[in-house]
Amino acid sequence: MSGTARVSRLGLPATILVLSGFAIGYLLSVSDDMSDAGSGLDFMFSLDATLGGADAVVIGRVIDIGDVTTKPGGSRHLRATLQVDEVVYSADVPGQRRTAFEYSDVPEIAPGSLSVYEPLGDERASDAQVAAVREGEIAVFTLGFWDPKIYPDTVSQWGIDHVATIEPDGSLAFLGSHGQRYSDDLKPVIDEYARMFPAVSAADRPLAALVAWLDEKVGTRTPGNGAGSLQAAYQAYVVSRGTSASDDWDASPPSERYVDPETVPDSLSAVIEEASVFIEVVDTARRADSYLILQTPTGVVHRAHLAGGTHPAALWFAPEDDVVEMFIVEGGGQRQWVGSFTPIRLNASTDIIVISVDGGVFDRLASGLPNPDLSTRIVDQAQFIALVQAWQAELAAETGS
Amino acid sequence: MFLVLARLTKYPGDKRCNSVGARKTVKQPPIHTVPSPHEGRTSLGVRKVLIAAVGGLIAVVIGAGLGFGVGSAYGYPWREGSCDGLASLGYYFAGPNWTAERQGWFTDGANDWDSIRKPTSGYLVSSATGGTIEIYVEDYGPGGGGKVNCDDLLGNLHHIKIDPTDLTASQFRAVSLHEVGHAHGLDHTGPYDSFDQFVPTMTAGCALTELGLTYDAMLGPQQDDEGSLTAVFFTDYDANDSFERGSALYWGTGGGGSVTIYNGGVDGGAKYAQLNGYGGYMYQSIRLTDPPNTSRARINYKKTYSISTGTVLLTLYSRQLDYSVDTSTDCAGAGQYHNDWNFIVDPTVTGWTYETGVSVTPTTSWQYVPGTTSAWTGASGWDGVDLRVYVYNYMLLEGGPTSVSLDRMRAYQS
Repeated sequence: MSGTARVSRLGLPATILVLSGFAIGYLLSVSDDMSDAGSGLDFMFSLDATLGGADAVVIGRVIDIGDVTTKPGGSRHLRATLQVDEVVYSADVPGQRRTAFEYSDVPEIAPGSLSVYEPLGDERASDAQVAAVREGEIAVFTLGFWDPKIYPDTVSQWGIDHVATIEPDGSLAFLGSHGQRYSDDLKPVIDEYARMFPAVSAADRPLAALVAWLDEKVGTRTPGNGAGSLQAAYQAYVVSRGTSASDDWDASPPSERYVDPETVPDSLSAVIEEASVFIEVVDTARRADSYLILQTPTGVVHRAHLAGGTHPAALWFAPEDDVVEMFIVEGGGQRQWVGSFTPIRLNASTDIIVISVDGGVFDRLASGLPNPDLSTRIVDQAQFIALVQAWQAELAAETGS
Repeated sequence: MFLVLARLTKYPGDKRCNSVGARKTVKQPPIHTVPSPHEGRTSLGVRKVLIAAVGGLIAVVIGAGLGFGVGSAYGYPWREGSCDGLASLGYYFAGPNWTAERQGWFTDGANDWDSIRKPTSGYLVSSATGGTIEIYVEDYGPGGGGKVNCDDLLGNLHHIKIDPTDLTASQFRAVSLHEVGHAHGLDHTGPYDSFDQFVPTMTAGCALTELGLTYDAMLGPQQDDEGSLTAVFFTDYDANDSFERGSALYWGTGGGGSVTIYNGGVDGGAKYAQLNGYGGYMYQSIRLTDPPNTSRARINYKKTYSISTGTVLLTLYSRQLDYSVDTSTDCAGAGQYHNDWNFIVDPTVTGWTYETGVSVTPTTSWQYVPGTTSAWTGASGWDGVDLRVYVYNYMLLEGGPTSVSLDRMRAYQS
């Protein structure tokens, strides 16, 4: 009895605690999603993008990794010291002059010790690129110049963009932000460079291509200069990696692509024409699990849930499409052909194609009769108005309005 | 509860399991080290307190387990994982790295959101200097871009950073626009606007990289951006549904129809559309993810001429979407794939499908019809759905075609 009383007394606080916990769980669920907004993903950190902001290329070693400085906004910069053996490239025009007109010229780098920093983003210092360079390993560093006049709180005037180790065959292995090494992005540039300068040896080609690519990019910092052939080769490579809307379209059979003026490839969008169709669906054909599909040789031009009843339809077809095939799909089954008609261009005529779907078509399909066609007819504008008015009157009678 | 929240807030990088684990290992207060003249009684009281505390902690953990997962922010592709929607962004330029031109570029980008009107009247959001939100220019990672920092638990905006690495003036502005979109409550959407296939402002940077584009491709808020901003503050899906932009922007036409925009309408003093041509139609597409089984299209309508007769037809189309993860892209696993979003591969499973329609008879007064409801079954199991609202004009004046007046045409969650 007393135990019951105790449970009763504890019931309310326990409920409150559980509900409090529930609320915490709820907030944690939401916060797990929300935290993504602040995780630095609005970035373009491809080699293409970061190299575009580089102002110098040096070869050397990492001789010291210092501490992390946290800036007022929370950004973290990792100090490092390089032993520069060779300055391979220095830009005439600093990349940051794009974002501050009074930006200083790129200072000269001399071989020897050079103080730099690596922006960490959300990574730990141990995941930094400089931390992934092995002790004594020779590496290539692309550096961005951060003018102390514009950035008075910068840890160093030189920020590391990318680090690449030099493999025995001369290839460059770029270090990702978490220590992974990759070289794919430079390959299309190297290939193009080899075509342009076949005399350069294969071992020297990767670094030479990288520097030439950067030089092209530096050239575009001067207004009026366009992208060079190395950049063009890289862009072509990027585009070829993904599939374009046009590729998707070409790869799909007509039954799996929808002719919609908003989404067809540009080449098709420029030529497709509109036809006006009116689809009568009698009550016996308004089946919840059945669809009417209209298709030309170009693709599907209309798809209707028959439960939705009578409706008009905009139908877009290519000039060479001389037939619209009609299909019925029942209950998730296979398409069944139920006839065809010739599309009529809307601008050339006010004639409208009327398709009638009655319940009998399902009976004919079920019984395997050879001629399950839906009936179609062409009406002129006056007949169409009468048709719509009759339909609307029928709807009004149904709804009692 | 407050203490627990405060502790979790202290470790924003921790995942929830780690945080719960951390709480389990927290040492209890040193109750036995405090001498007391009433040792025995106090010990009993302390034990009770301790038992209550442990019991309470267990109850909280159980409750947290029950509550975990309920708070999904899913529902709109643009809203997942974003900051809480901030209607009025008051900011100042923090840190030492600003120049006059940079401030101008940021301001221009922020202001690009301010012209989007509410479905009712006025504007959805505003931004201006003089507030407390800090905007920094910093090199905080490889490459250029931006970053929004929100409270992990509550979604409150703390600051925005723009990393100027390799950004041109227009790119700096585009990044600013994008980050302020996050501040207003939007998250990333795909790289193709569902209306005109341009690049939405809220496209993720990595998706642009995949397409070989840069931030320059983001021209400003597109229909998906505008529709999603509306959805942050309302339950509607559409953009410019009351034609407050002074044009039929984001609405397509066909069937020989045309649209004219006039002042006035349901909203009083705002805008409305006249749809011309018998059998002419106008339409708008909008994208949803994790859709409910029902959505509605709705409309306000009235005769343009008192002696005109006829009807208006409102129809709803849909197409199913499937977002399978493409791990071959740079975006894969980078947190961009909320709810299995794939920004690159066409996610369309079905073509546009007519679902249902409703016919109404206009009078000389503005009338409202809640419209037609989608007829999907099992849509809640789909990854997403595109909706398209069509409005057809079947009005006649003395036997010939005439226009009908329309306003507030939109789809919304029902």
